[in-house]
Amino acid sequence: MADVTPLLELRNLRKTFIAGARTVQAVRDVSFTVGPGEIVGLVGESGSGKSTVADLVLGLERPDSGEIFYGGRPLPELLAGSGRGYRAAVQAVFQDSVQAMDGRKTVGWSIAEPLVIHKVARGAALRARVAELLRAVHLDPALAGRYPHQISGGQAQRAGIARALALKPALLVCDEAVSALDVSVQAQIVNLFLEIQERYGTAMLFIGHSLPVVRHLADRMVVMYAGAVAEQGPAEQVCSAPRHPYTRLLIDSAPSFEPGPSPAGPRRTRGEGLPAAGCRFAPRCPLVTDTCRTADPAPREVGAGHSSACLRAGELTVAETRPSRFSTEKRRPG
Amino acid sequence: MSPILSVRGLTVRYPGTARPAVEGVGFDLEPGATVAVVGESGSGKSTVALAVSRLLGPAVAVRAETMTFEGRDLLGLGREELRRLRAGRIAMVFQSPSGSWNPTRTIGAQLVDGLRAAGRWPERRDALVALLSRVGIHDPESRLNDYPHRFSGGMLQRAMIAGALVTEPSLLIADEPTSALDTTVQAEILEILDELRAERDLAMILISHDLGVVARLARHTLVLYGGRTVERGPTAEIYRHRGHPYTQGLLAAVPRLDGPRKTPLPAMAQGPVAHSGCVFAPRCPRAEDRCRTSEPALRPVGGIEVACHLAGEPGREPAWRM
Ligand SMILES: Nc1ncnc2c1ncn2[C@@H]1O[C@H](COP(=O)(O)OP(=O)(O)O)[C@@H](O)[C@H]1O
Ligand SMILES: Nc1ncnc2c1ncn2[C@@H]1O[C@H](COP(=O)(O)OP(=O)(O)O)[C@@H](O)[C@H]1O
Ligand SMILES: [Mg+2]
Ligand SMILES: [Mg+2]
Repeated sequence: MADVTPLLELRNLRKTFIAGARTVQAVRDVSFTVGPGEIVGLVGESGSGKSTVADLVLGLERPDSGEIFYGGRPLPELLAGSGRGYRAAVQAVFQDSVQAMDGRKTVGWSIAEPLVIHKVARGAALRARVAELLRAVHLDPALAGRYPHQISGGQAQRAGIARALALKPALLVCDEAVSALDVSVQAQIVNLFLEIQERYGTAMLFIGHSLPVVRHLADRMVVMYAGAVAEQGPAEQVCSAPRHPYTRLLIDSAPSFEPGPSPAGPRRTRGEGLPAAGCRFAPRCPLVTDTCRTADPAPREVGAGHSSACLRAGELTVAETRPSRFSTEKRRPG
Repeated sequence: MSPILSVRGLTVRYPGTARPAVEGVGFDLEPGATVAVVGESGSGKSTVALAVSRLLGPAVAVRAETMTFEGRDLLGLGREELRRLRAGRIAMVFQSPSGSWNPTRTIGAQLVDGLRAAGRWPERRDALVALLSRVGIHDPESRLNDYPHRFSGGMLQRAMIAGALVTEPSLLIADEPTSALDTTVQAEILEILDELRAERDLAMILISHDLGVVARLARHTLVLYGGRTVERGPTAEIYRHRGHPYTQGLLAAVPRLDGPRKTPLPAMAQGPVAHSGCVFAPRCPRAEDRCRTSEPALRPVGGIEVACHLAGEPGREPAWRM
């Protein structure tokens, strides 16, 4: 996507929260782009700052420093006045769509609401558009008359997606949109997102904590650890030839059918807090050196469109990154 | 070896419901062995766990042909015997880290309560501290004074596991112990559980909605759908044969790190649990007339047991094989 103006660009974003006596650096120098029609997966463990990035992109939070550009224009400029153009173009899908909808209003009303607010349609045209949106997410248009608590979790998630699509957005911000679903429903919603990308060319910032699910959907992937980007690059490359030890840990922790102990192994080296200086992953890192505990590594290019914030990224060759799953000593399952 | 837990024909019906939540479930568990119970939400996994640990209230109808633990009939135990059993020999770990702890009391106070109830306080004090450290809690002596909100979800689950194992139970029932946690923490905690099982000859019922999560740890697996056992056998064989279309669907729906990308996932259709015939027929892509009229019994098919009329018939490829 190098020669195309990115749809969305995040540049050196920082966001710190003050919670009582503690300050939390939720987002530290995060930079990445989302191209038109591209799905960028954002992974990392809970607390790594993914939702804060989503909130910054949605304009729900303001960065302490750094900038967000959409279509080449800075976000504060786009949000000035009503900010309607931006708010129509960038839509959110959350984990719990039942909760995101007004329980006293019908599903159809929730889907129609953005169309009414933005004065896109009314009357019969509005009803027709709602029916069309329900069909687009493979729901029976008759569901428009139901209330959120009367539909299943999978149906609610589809309805949430229909609402997000109502204004024909260029970018969907999906925060854990499939994380709470049973695997068969999860697969259906993943398929729906792929279909939306293909049919409408919608770009997505897709946040999840399941590496296999995000890899399946994403064109490119951003791996966050403790507020910063540990690694980013083409999704397949990040998963098959990771260049950051944290990405490698995520890969080794993914469920698998290899018998015997997990290659991730028990890692009890983890202290409670994060180090104040140096690489934040150092206390858990199997490759840690003395330098890692003092120098905060900046992202470095390790391949085409692929970067890693590990001082030892150069030593993490393909051969070295993938053997663990196959070489661990095996204990028989009990 | 004689089983530590033996369950046959377990049937559970909640008050005010038309159909049993669990029907005819059975399995044997040897000392030091792990059985995985898998299925989507509502399939009856937690009901099996609660029935075995006798945590269901008197209004819930629990019946079984056999349900013996260490040779004793679990359904025939008196109140006092039950209390002692639950405080010592059978331990449970639940899914919700926060829901299992009282926010107004320290972690230490709540762990001590557990030991007192089992009549093992202060005798097991040092063992508790050692276990906390073993499951990955640093500086346990000082962490015991913390309130639950100072612990992450993973730390609460670790503390719960230590509290469950400190009475030296012979059976641990873990109901989705890591489903709410990050995958890295999940992998670590499951690994620790498996180590402790091997060391202590602990038998384990490990419940999960994801077969991939428990496959490493459990030699045997029970797949539930609509309260029925649809497939049962050695985990490796189930993975190899995928005898039941439901198991095939579950496995195929989950993307794998070494699988294809950006292609539609083979996603099972949704549908109700059938009241007659095969419970899975309304969602099954292979269902025939007989599936809608007669209920298939669990029967041996190539090393596993499958409750499907079509299983093992020649020329039938699994519908969802990737
Ligand atoms: N509104 C807030 N006030 C205080 N701390 C916050 C707030 N939002 C997020 N945080 C903190 O910022 C960090 C990142 O949180 P979040 O972005 O939600 O991570 P993720 O979505 O990856 O789980 C966490 O330590 C979290 O506790
Ligand atoms: N207390 C209860 N009263 C009535 N029905 C219940 C109760 N608990 C569970 N059920 C029902 O029993 C079935 C099995 O539930 P459960 O054992 O919790 O499944 P799982 O743990 O696999 O999600 C579901 O249909 C559920 O709605
Ligand atoms: Mg989040
Ligand atoms: Mg359950």
